Amino acid sequence: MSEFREIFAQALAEVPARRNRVHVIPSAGRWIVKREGAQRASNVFKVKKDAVQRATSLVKGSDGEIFVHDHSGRITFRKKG
Amino acid sequence: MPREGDDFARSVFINCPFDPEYIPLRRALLFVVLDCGLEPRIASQRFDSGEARMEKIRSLIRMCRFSIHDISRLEPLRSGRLPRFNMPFELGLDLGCRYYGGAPLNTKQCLVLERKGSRYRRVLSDLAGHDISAHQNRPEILVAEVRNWLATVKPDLQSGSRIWERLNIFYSYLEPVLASRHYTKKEMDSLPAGEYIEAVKQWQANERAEEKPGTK
Repeated sequence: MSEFREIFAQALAEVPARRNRVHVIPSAGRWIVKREGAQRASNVFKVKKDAVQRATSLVKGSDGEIFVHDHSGRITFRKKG
Repeated sequence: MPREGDDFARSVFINCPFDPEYIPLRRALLFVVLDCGLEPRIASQRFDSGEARMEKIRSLIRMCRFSIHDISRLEPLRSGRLPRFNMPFELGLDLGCRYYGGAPLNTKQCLVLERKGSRYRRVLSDLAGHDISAHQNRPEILVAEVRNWLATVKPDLQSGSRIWERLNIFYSYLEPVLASRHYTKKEMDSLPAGEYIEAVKQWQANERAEEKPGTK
């Protein structure tokens, strides 16, 4: 394993459980809300704002976190529940 | 002469631009190749000042059964300059290798990517008859086009939309993880292709471990 990969592996191990992470992803002209590890999207929306609202409600009151992505896939916004 | 071994059969030569505006597409391109279980080979992966660039390209082309050539950005970087010739030049080398190289190089397959389907028909008419896939400068479409091409030679691939979702999820780890190791924004944006590939591989290994409880 390269030195970089080892450093990356150590840092990855510190990330909290993935089931508490919910993503808002642009996909095929819609916005999907997807919990990490789930096979399917929780919901699909036409409007980004509605998707973010739904994702926020999924993590509300928990130690979860939402990640909103742009059309390049990068995170534009993240928020803890 | 390369043998028809695992490395040759799994390797994908990536011929793409290196300008900062192309980074989201390049990262999507490397990710989809890795997520389809293949090994991307890109010139910037190898840092050896003693190796001439042409020698590096020649050797990469020779070691890869597959290649992906993105000719979407041949325009000059500044007005008044000449176009960028490297990408079509390397596409020509790759096709030459396939036509004149003998076995197993004559089994090589390539995908040509463009911004719009017909833009280069007039200025690169030698490519007439070859299929060109258009990514429209959108990483999501690039992922689908590359996945669909690879599906013709590799069965049981995940859907393009699933790979796109996985790329998004990977990004939610990449920058926070690098930030936790004190990478600056500039360093993250210019992460070398070799390190980016290592990060994807490690994330994939973690994902597999998560799917098999007790192995992490």
